[in-house]
Formats: sequence, structure tokens, C-alpha cells
Amino acid sequence: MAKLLLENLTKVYDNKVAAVKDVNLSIEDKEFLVMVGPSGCGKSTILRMIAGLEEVTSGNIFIGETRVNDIPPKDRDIAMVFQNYALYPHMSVYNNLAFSLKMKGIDKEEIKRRVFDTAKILEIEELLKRKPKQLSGGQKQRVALGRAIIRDPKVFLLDEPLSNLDAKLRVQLRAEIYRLYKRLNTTIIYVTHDQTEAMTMGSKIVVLKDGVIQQVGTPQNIYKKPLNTFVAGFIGTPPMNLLEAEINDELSVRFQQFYFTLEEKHKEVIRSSGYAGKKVIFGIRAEEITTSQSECSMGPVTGEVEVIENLGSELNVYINTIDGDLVTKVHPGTEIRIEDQIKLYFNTGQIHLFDKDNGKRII
Amino acid sequence: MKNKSGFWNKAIRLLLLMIITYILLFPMTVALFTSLKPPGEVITATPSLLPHNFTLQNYRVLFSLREFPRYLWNSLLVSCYTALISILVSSLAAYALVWMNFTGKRTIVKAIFFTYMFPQILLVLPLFLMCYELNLIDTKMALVLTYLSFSLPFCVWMLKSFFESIPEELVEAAMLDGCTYLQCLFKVVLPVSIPAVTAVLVFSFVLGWSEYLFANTLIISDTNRTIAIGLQTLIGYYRVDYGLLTAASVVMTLPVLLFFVSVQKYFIEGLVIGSVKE
Repeated sequence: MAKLLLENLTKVYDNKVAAVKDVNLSIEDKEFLVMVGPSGCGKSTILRMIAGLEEVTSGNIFIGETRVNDIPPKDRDIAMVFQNYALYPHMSVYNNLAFSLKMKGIDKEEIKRRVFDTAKILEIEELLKRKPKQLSGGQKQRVALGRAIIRDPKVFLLDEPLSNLDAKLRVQLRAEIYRLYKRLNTTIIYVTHDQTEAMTMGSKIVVLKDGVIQQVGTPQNIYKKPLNTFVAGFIGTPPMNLLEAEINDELSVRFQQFYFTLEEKHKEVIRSSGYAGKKVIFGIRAEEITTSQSECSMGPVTGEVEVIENLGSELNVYINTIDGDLVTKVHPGTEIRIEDQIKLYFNTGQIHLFDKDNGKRII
Repeated sequence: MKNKSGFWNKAIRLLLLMIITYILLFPMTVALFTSLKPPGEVITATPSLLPHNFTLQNYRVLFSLREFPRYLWNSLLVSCYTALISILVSSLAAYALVWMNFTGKRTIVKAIFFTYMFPQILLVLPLFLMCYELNLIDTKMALVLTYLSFSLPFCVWMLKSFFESIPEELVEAAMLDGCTYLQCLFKVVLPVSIPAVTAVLVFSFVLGWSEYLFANTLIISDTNRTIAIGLQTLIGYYRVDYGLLTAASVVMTLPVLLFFVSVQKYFIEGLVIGSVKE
């Protein structure tokens, strides 16, 4: 267990492609940090640099007080769980678990005790004699987790550990990994492209895009206050609605169909940052759009229903309007059909405004 | 209707296989049966494949020859050394070529491939001169070194393409679990590459066992001769004892045959897997 510090971390590959650009990040002891981003955003590269599997082009990595840039992987005291499990196919589950301990020269009795303890935690005791090819995907991933746990490392690195599993198993193992984290009380860095995993598991989330950190924060913080349009669109299902709008000189947000006046606290921000009279990106979460008017909602925006996704507990309704495409959540009992013309109202207490050019958050 | 065409399909395939097997095995069969014939029966006016009187006389004579067991032993030594050194060196080389980063890697890969392009006969003189300079003429070491120069390019290539099919994460997991490069090779990579390792062993062993040209050039004394050359000494100037010669051929073939039969399952798997990158 240790604190981890990434300082100006940069990775440039031989073909001059910069996979990670100037990343600064501090991971506290016993923190569950989730790195999330689309494919190719550099999240796995960061993880591999921490593990020592990838050379650092520039910058520093500290585990505890030690700078580990030049320390080989085996001496970093780090355990990693891979997406494709990477179990040793020629060894039984027992030997897979015991391998790292054998390499350390720990005595047989102690190894045996730790293997059985670990197997008990993960409920894989009856699999110890099997070979990896005789295991199901979920069992394999459990063994892979066991291989990491048994070493009692300073830091756990999990590289998309659930991506190869089917949806049901993924949810189940997600909860299990979280329980494990609570039980082991250790530092975990978890990489995923699945924002649901990020939101449900992490105590801190790092959103990455093109090798650059977009935002670091708690799941709630990132959901409520995304720092730019990328984060707004990436985190949350369905993603945040983003529409083009104009702020007029009276500090109202104007769409083609209607306009509303900003709250006083927001007006001050707009005035001081000079966005009056400019075009902006207006963002609103699906759950803040309603089909009926209430006290704090403004509208209406009229549009045609294009797609209805029935999730059982709610419906996601995709609507095409002249201001842009919108998605809203409605109660499953609501009478709504494709090609219906419906009116929508925005809860203007929960709005987001972003710069039109660089996508940065204004309010 | 379908069943009928299936039957004919099978029948034709079987017939073809029988013809091919017959052609391939004919010399071996003749050798085997000839070796079991008494001297008077080997060459007759009406030749027969099967001996009228089975006898092990030729084998008895063969093993009573003082040099023959020595030839066998020499061959065994040379082949085993060639096979073992081949697997050791080629696995190290292939490991480095697949998983380590260093300058000149591509050039080395190309150079290894390049060595294939020389016909063996072209190398007799240079290799002879090299061995002469190194004082290795008439030593088994000279043979081992020469055979290695032929077996290694193939073995490296074979293992390299097999290693490339192993997921990188497996090696990385081993590194994180505390392995050095060498431990990773011996504890993880080689055990999961059994088919390719077997193929490499068989190839280099057979090369060492049956090679004739260099064995004939680099070995002078009788005590250092391998079985391939020893076989030739059984052919006299005026008279050839075919019974004895075929018995020696059979004895020479047996170890390779036994070795091959015991590992053929892995060997065939290795040939297939190594050739196609998944």
C-alpha cells in the first residue's frame, strides 16, 4: 500500500505518436482510482508505465517516496490483472497462484497457506487442480485476480479486467472487485473504457482523451460538473444533451424555439467572462428534461420522437428538434410512440454552458 | 446417393494414400527384409521381397564389428549436442527477437534468413578452412558447430514465429511476478511452446544423425566417424555385403524412428502452429 505520484508523465512512441502527454496525477494510499476514456486515449499506456512494462519518455513515477522509472517491473512490487487474464496455460490454478511466491523463494508451507487463503476469498478452492483451459471466463478472471491478491502488492493495476466477460458476469464481478477492494484496503488503479464501471467503482475518476487528462474528480463531481464537452458527452448514460445556443445581451440563453433568462449567479459569471452576445454550447442531462411543465422548467421545445429505448425501469426517448437532437428519460407508463410530436421542458436550475470553440465549461 | 459418393471419395483417397505410402516405404521395406535374409538369398535369379529363411545373422555380424557401436555412439553424441545446443541458442535468440527492443533487430532477422540462401556444397571449403584454422579437423566438435550453423537459422525462425503467437501479456505477467528474462523463457515461454520446441529438437537431431557431406569432409580418423560415414565403410571395393549393409541401415534408422514416433503428436502440431500466425 502506497501513495503513487505521476509527474509530467509523457510517452512518445518510435513513430513519434504521443500516447500520453504531460500527465500529472496523485493517487492517494488506499484509493480506488479509475482511469476512463475511449480506445487509444492512453489509459493503458499510463498503467503499463506504472507497471514498468513500457518505458517512460519523460517525467517521473513515484511509488511511495521511491522514483521507479528505472526499476524493473519485478522490483516495483506491483500486481497487474490483464484483460485477457494472461494465466500460465501449462500450470494448474494452484501453480498460477503460487508462481510469484515461488519466484520470491517463499517456503512451501507458507505458499500453500496463502494459496488456500486466496482461493477461499475468491471462492475458487475447488478449481485449484484445474488448468486454465478448463475454466470459464469468469473463473479465469477470478484466478487472475487471485494471482494479484496473493502477492499483497503495494499497488494493484487492473487493465480492463471485465471487458472479455458477458454483461451479467461483468456486473457481478464488478461488485466483487469492489468488495475485494474494501476487504484488502489497498491502492487500486483500474482502467476501463466503460463509463458505467468508472462511475460505479471509483472513489476518484480520471477522464482521459488523446493522452491528456480531461478531468479528475469524484464520480458525482464529474457527473454534475463536467469541465468540458468531451467529459459531458462521455460520462453518463445517456450522454449529456449538447445544443448550440446564443447568449444575448440581456443574458438570456436563446434557442430557435424559445429562450430563458439565466439565474442571477450565472449572469455574473457570463458578464465577467465576456460571453454576452456570443454563441455557446448548452448542456443538459436527460433527466433534467421533462415532458410536462413545472415551476422550475422552461420551454417548450417541440420535436418528433425518433427512437424509444425501453430499459424496463425507464424509457430513453430520442427526439429530433430544430435546435438539435435531444434525449430524455420518461416513466415507462408514459403514452409515447415513435413519430409523436412532443413538447419538452428544461429544468434550468441544472444547466451547463460550455465555450463553443474550445468546449471548456463556463458555468 | 450422398453415402455412395462418400464411399467412393474415401476409397479413392485411401488408394492414393496407399500408393504414396508404398512408394515411400518400398526402399525401407526392401532394406528391412534384406537384412533378415541369409547371405545366399540376398541376390538370386528370382528376387523375392520376403526372405524364405528369417535370420538375424547380419545383425550378429554387424554388432561383432568393433567399430560399429562406436559409430553409433559418435552419431548419438553429435546429434544430441546439436539438438540441445540448437534449442538453447535458438530459444534465447527468438526470445530476444520477439520481446526485447534493441537496435539492429530487423537487420539480424534479415541476416538469419539470408543464411538460408547458400547451398551447402558452397560452404564445404570455407568451413573446412575455418575448422583447420581452429584446429578442429577430425573432432566431433567440428561437426556439431557445422550442424549448428545449418540448424540454427531454421530453429530461430521456427521458434520466433511460434513465440509471436504467444500473447505478450503472458510474458509481462511473468515479469511482474518476479521473473528475469531468462526465468521467463524457461519457466513460461518454453513450457507453452512444447510443439515448437519438439519440432526444433527433431529437426536438429535428424540433421546431425543423417548428415553425410560434412561428416565425410571434416572427420578423418575411424574413431570419430559417425554412422552415416560408418555405413559407407561397409561397402567394399570388390564386394558389397548387402545383408550387412541393410542391417546397418535399419539400425541407423531405428533411433530416429523411435524418437519421431514418441514426439510426432507435438511435432505435427508445431509445424502447423508455427507456420500460421494467429
